[in-house]
Amino acid sequence: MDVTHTKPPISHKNKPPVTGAGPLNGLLTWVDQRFPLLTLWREHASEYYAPKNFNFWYYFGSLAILVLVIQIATGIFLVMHYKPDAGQAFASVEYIMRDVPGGWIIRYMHSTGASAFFIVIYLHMFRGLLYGSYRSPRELLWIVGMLIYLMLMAEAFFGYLLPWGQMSYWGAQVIVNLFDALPLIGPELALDPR
Amino acid sequence: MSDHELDEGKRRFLLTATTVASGVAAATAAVPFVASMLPSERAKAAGAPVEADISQLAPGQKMTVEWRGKPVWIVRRTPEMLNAVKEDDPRVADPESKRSQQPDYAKNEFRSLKPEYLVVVGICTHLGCSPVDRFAAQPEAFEADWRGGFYCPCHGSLFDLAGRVYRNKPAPDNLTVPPYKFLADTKLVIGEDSKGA
Repeated sequence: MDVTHTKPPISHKNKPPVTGAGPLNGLLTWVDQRFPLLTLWREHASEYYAPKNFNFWYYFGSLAILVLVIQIATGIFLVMHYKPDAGQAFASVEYIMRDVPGGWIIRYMHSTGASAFFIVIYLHMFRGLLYGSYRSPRELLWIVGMLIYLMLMAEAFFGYLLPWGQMSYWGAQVIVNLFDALPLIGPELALDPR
Repeated sequence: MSDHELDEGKRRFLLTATTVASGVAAATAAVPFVASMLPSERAKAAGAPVEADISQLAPGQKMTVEWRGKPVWIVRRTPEMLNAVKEDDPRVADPESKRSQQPDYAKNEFRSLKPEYLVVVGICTHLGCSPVDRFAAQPEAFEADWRGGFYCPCHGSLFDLAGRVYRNKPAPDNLTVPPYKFLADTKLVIGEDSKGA
């Protein structure tokens, strides 16, 4: 004899409707029944699990992400007008500063943002030292952070070169000559091919 | 903490205030980014209208001015040339310029504001060559019964003295007429017209 097993149907109608969002309740319910929006929001924002003893010093990690996002957004808008050519770069930066509407403030956001990035990162590192965030079981955290910090310095250096004015040129000269100190391969690396 | 009563009204107020403040901040931050996509002063200058002084242009002659990187021809047509345009009606592909590009005030038989002056962009509508002048009405290698006009050396398209393309030629449309207006009897502005003209 056949036994018919009846499973409860998998349906989005089983999920409770969203409440407390006023006129947006309907829309959010529609989305939430097709995508785990509320769970996502609770897990990563409204009910994010964090120790109670967080203080001012713990702000700088998320501030570093904010600065990174600002650098990416302003950088994308700057590169729309920038010319990556030794002969044209400086003139294109002048063009951004003088001719492109709002270009001056976007560039200042980008150059000041680069400095802000370092300030925020140093405060973030200070917090790590202050509260021992590098200790067991998180020993690798500090090492990984130092690697990211090196990459940040390299990226900031290459950004500094982009206008290719006097400051960029001589800055490049100094940094290239640092590699002269490497044994064996150093002199060849730092050799000026011009 | 747990014996505190939850103040729902205060929570809603704080949530709304935060949302409004961050919305205003986001909109303000978007202003320079949106503005940077508007045309720069350099782009505006490159697309600006140009003036042409036509006082030295003798009847039957052509002059060329540059507008937005394109050659714009100004031809001062003689009465004979205008007659030739009329006679060309059955030989051209789009005699009334129904398909072709021109401002409304140039959508007429002579394709111009004043019949005497023809103003067209001197770029063949086929593949972008610049046709050459063949103003004299005389038998030509490309057309035995030629009444004057323009000949495109690239693929042989023929245009009459109103910039209208001959039938069965590679070019699909008549030469484009740019927007223009007369500042005075002998001064033209190309790239700008009087509103409602």
